[in-house]
Amino acid sequence: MTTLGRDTLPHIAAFEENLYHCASCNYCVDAVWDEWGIDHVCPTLLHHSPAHGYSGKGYIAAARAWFEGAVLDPMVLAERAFTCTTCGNCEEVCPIGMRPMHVARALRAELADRGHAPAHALRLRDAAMAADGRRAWADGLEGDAGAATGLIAGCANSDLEVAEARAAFRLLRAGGVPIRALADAPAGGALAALGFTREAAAQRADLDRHLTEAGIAKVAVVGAEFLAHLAGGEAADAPPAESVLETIASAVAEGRLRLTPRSDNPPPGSVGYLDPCHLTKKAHGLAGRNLGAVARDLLARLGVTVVEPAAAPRFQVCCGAAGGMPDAQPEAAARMARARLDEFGARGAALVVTAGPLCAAHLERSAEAGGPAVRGLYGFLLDHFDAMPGSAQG
Amino acid sequence: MRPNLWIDELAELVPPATLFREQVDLLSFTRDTSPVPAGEPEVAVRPSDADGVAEVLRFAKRRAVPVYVRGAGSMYAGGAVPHKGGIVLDMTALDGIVDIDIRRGLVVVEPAVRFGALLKALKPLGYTIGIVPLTGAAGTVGGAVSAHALGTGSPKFQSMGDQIAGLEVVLADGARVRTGSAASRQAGFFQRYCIGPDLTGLFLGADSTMGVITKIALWLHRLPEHVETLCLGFPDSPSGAAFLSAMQGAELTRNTWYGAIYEEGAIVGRVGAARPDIPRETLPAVCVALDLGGEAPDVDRDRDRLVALARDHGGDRFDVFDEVFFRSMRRDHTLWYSFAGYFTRSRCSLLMASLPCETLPALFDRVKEWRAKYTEYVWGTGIVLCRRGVHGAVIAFYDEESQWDAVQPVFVDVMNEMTAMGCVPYKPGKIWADAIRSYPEYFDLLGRIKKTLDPDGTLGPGNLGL
Repeated sequence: MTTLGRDTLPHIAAFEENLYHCASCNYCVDAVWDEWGIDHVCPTLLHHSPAHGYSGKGYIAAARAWFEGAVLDPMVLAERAFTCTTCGNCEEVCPIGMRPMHVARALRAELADRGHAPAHALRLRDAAMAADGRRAWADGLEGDAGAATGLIAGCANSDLEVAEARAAFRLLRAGGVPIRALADAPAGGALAALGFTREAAAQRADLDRHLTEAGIAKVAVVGAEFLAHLAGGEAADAPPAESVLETIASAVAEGRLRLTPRSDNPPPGSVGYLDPCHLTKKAHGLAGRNLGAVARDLLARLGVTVVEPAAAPRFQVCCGAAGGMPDAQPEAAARMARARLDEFGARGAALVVTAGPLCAAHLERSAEAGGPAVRGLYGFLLDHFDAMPGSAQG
Repeated sequence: MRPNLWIDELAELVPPATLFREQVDLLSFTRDTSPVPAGEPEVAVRPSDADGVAEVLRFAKRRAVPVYVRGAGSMYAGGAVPHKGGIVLDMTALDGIVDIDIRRGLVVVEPAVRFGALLKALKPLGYTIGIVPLTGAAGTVGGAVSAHALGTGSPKFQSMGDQIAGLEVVLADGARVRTGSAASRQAGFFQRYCIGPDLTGLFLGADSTMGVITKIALWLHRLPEHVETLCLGFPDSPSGAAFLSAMQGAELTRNTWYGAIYEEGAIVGRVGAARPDIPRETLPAVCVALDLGGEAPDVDRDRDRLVALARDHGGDRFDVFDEVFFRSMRRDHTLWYSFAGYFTRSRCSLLMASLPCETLPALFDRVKEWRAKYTEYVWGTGIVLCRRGVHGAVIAFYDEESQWDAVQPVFVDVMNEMTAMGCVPYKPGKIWADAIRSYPEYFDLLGRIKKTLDPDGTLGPGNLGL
């Protein structure tokens, strides 16, 4: 085998072992296995194109061909590599632990380094690097000036789901959590997912500097993609990062935060809970924290029954929110969202909640066409519960 | 995209969304799970029905373009590898369950239905099918039928082909035929052996060299009401092999849904890792691990008879192996999901053959010799019990990046030795092509049938040595 790319394709070379180990078994293309709760795999193949160039094994095959010196059409390859939700379900089902989603991201990085990133990715890069409007989410939020924990909304919240980030802040404050709202604190997760690794590293350095200057030792994160990037092992030497979901759930469980149903807007008896891929799938490094169970336990404590989707939480097919999909292929992304909403609707859910702000924003757009309504988890809690300090706060 | 006149012509015939000609999209069709070298397909077409299949085959015949049929592409013998280029006929859009006919006791499916999807549909009805391979979550029924699948059900039912009530096939000239009783439109699928010779068998294990399967009728079976596992240890491989022959002779496979035979290396590895307190020298040399299923009294009776039979052959229960490995593998379904662990270490070859039980000790001995001779590779075996004889895989783990060229002649040597000792190629494809040619009378007849059905040789050239 020729391995021409070892020196010239560093992002792919990082996954060299995968290129020669993938058994081409097709699990990442499609699989169904009831006992494991696997009910199909790849949203792009299901809702955009069945061409295997968009599949996990297709990414590995393309990376290997490039690595071995094949001349591939960069525009075609870029269209495939950047039309991936980066959900990581292919890695979840892979029986031998291959990392096709990461190989797709490596392809993105190689292409971006060579100036072949598609126009939509460049627009997303520019938006992720612009500070305009990012401060707005924290306007008027008063925290503890000296708190060592900073609340970070994440790009999706600061851009798309401002109300969700503000709801999370209010819940934390009601629970007596000493915290400061940190505006304008991107970590580079969105850029890294798009393959803009240099820009992601620069943002990360800016974040470190920002935290040091502000005296922040720990961050609490609302955004799922942000948390995955920071706490999921992708960013070296990251500051300790906790999920706001965990913080709020433990405050409720320990009696520091009391959520009582509002008489003027009582909670529904049941909701569908959509597990954000970034919080759930092992590809993003947070699977061990079992945040889906945390969310379900929180809802159960509040008397809300969770309507479960067809697949097990870890194997759910992505709603199409991440990886730049809504910008790369808006119609396919809408079909992905529609499929998830229809799935919950068929199981009797009139409302779907999620702890993933990207998912919430994307699903909300599709929900306008009918079916279950969509709400971010923290907004849902404040919609239907009065948040008060619990007796455990003293 | 490559300019190509015949591909342009084909593109005029089929819906645009079903034709794939970008190199990046075709890379996934170059290999399967075997160590057969990659081919270079020129185009892939994904028809949505049998008419679409016929259209492609008629075109291929007219333009003399090779056609390689593909399901999930997860077989171990290279049948889906397009080593003469041409068209990959991607069957994965034909993935429907056509009819579940409880009254007739069969299910009719399109070829690309995944085993996992089929089992999921049958389970609420209390039914299953006979043979389910370990690639079942992603593997297609059509691929399994075309390549002689084995796995769950092999002890009870023998082979995938024995579970087929009839087929619908598109021939190389585009003609469509139904086999068995379904040759009669009035009767439909219910009986395989009728009218005349068993034409169904022409297409089983044929790797699409004789035609392209577009519908499959499979026998249904009740899900067993009671299941349990049983592991039996034997002091040496001859006593283990004699037990297997006796077990089969006594029809004690009737309630055995899966059986695997493990040699010393696997036993020491599994037990040693989980129970290092057990002295290695006390472990048996061979383990027969069985998954029993049926009505509880029948399973009770069979278990007791199996244990007694094992004792008659110098063996006994080997519960530790059950506890540390086999039971969890079967009950947690890790067999399917983990791809049996075969590929977890690295790429590997599974050189699959059928052999009579009495040949098994010689195969185990030979594997030990290969371990000593080819020390740069890790060697293992995967032996599945059948109703008669066993299906055995000799597995060689290799690093594809650094050992690809060196391992190829080793596979040839090993396969030659296997056939010389009486192992018969089981998975067809390309990997055993030379062995198939070494059976001259068989190969001559195969070639004459091929010449009749596919005179231009467009279907799967290279498969079965044809």
